Amino acid sequence: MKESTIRGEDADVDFATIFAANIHEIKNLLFLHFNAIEGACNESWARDNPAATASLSRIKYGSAKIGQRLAHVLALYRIAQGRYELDVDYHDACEVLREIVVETHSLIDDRSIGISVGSCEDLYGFFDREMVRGILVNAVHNSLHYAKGKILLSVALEDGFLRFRVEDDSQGYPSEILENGGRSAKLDLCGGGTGLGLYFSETVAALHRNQGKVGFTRLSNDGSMHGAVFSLYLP
Amino acid sequence: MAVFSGQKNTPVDFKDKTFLVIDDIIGVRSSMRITISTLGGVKIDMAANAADAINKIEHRTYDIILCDYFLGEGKDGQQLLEELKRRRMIKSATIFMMVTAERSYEKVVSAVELAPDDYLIKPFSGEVLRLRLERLVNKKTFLAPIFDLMEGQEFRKSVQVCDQRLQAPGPYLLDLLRLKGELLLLVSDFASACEVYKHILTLREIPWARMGLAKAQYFQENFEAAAEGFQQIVAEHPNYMSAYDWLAKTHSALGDEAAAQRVLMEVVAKSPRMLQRQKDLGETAYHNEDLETAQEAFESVLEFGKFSSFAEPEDYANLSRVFLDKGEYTQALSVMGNARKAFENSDEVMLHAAVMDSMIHDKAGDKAAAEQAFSEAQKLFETVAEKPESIALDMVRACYQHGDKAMGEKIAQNLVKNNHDNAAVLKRTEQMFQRMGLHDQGKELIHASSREVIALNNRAVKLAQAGDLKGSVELLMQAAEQLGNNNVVVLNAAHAILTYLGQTGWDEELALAVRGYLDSVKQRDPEHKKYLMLSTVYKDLSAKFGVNK
Repeated sequence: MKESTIRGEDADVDFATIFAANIHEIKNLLFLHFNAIEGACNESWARDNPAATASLSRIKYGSAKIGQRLAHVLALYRIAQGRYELDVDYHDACEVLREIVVETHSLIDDRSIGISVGSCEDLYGFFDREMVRGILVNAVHNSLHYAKGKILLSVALEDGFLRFRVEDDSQGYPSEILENGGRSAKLDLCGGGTGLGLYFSETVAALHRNQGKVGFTRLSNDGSMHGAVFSLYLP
Repeated sequence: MAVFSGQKNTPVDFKDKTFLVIDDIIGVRSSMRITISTLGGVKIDMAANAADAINKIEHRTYDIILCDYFLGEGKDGQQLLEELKRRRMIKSATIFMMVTAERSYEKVVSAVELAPDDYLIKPFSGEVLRLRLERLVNKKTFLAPIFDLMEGQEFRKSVQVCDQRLQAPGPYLLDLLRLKGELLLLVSDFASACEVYKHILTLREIPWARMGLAKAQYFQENFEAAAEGFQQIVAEHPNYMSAYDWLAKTHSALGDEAAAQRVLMEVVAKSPRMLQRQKDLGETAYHNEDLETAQEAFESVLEFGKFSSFAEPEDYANLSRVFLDKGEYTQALSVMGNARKAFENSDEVMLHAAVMDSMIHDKAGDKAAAEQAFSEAQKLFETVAEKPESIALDMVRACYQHGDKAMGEKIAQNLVKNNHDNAAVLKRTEQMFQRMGLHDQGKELIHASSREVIALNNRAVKLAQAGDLKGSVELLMQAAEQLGNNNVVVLNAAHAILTYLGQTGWDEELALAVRGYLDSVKQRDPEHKKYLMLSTVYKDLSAKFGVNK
């Protein structure tokens, strides 16, 4: 397997390294798994069989979520170790949203949820693209769980922050969560999850700093679709 | 069903694009092939490791290279990319995308010019790969006019086009600013480069922009400011390897060799396999008379360089010299013996080994062997054409040791005259005299020889200022004749001739001399700033007079 595998002769490898390397390894395996599913989707027996396509699509969606979660765990672990370096570069915000939509689209073939990109033209900003993607994909997965039919992604400038938004037409967040500022540890934000997704989002948002300002996230129910609104503010 | 706003990227036809997929796992390679073919790509080659990839790239031009970071045994993806760029095996227009399972895991921030065009994090779907590639193709198309000018070494014009494009930069603002900064450094317009990088830094604290600013300050000889900049990068981004190299260089320029050594030791501990860095450490430690560290570093150079084309006879001599100074003569001799084997008795290695042997035998008390080696060295020194500075330096020391002061002085004078603006060579020369207990004599020799070159230059400049361009040209051409290895002298001659031609019209004979001068510098230092500038002048001039090359 890959170079990242811990070798037997390295007697003094610490647990931390083994832990990180294993997650890394699992991500590699998951990639092969993911490709195998995509391959299966393209085979004739699957293409011509709606039931098979739907099943494969569900498996793919599940794998993508596992991959996403692993990425979060690994990133949080590195942040906790003080070894995570934010990779800030200049990105087209629209581009990031479009990528998420295209990717999600390929995962939700069997669902009747429309996911679209709202206003975002000509907004560029400095951020860690992979981490921001991770945050937004997490919010989208959450919305997929609760939305009735629509999810809208958008980006805008607000008070010198680049504001990404994921909103849906669900019932919205329960009031006790909003009263808590969305910081309840028991929060079911990951569609059957444990709140890790939100914790990840807050942590990574706060790593984005610029000229004394710090990134953050907000939950609300004041969107144009009267559902839940997840906002990410980056300085 | 999903709906999304209109595709902003111009769609790309991947049918005509050549792909190279580099991954050590066969399953990944074949699944990548399937993914690329779903995008419409048909011209797809595969490589299993870095060596395989280099071989393929030597024989075919690729538009898009998808490379996994981990490539099993041998070089990793980043090292492969660095080699491809250093050897200019891929063009600026080529798309090089690094595929990795985790962005931070492999992240070794390297010099920006050695970074891939993008990172793709596994797992990814075919559609995301399409979007990323389309975006990169669009970007490369937008920047293509600049790349073309750069390819033709028309750097000034490249800067102008950057400025034009910066009127409406869109998503490429930072790419344009980055290119502009690099180009300004290349044409030695350090003040403007500082401005560009400072502008970027007002937008955001980005390590490569901080790096660019510090480099520009270094070249402006504002070493304090440069050191501060490099220090800041190293503190905030401990993996930014090249910042350590520059910080060490800046400490050296400030005369603080001990600090330079500390920085180099720190970075060598992080990445021991970088040969040049180990070499720098060895030389700095040798300068600081820390022979243990010098020995360790030079041994690492030989160990890691065994199978690399970078190893030189000089690397062996460096280690042998340390053993000589430590009084470990058997070791010192055996290192040069290995050098002879490694370089199959080439002229250069035979010369350097004879020089070293003559000194080692002499110190070890074997006068007969010492004399024999020294006369061999004297003979070879006259006949071997290509001699690195280290051979000349060792030869000077050997001459003094064997009482041939006249020859030693002559070689030293020549060395200084050919390198009068090369601070590192002058410093090493001075230190060698100091080690021989001849510090004052050495300083005097260096001073006098440098002065000779400077005085000659000044005379030429005065002639030119007084309106005697022709006299200035003649004087500098004479100087270039004698000091053919001195880039400054040779380029000044080329510069004077070009000015003369600009005023009096084309003269093929003089133009031929200019081409010879430029080529000789190009061979020694293809990135020499004044060389690049004068090449552009030459091109413009020959175009102006309608002369074909």
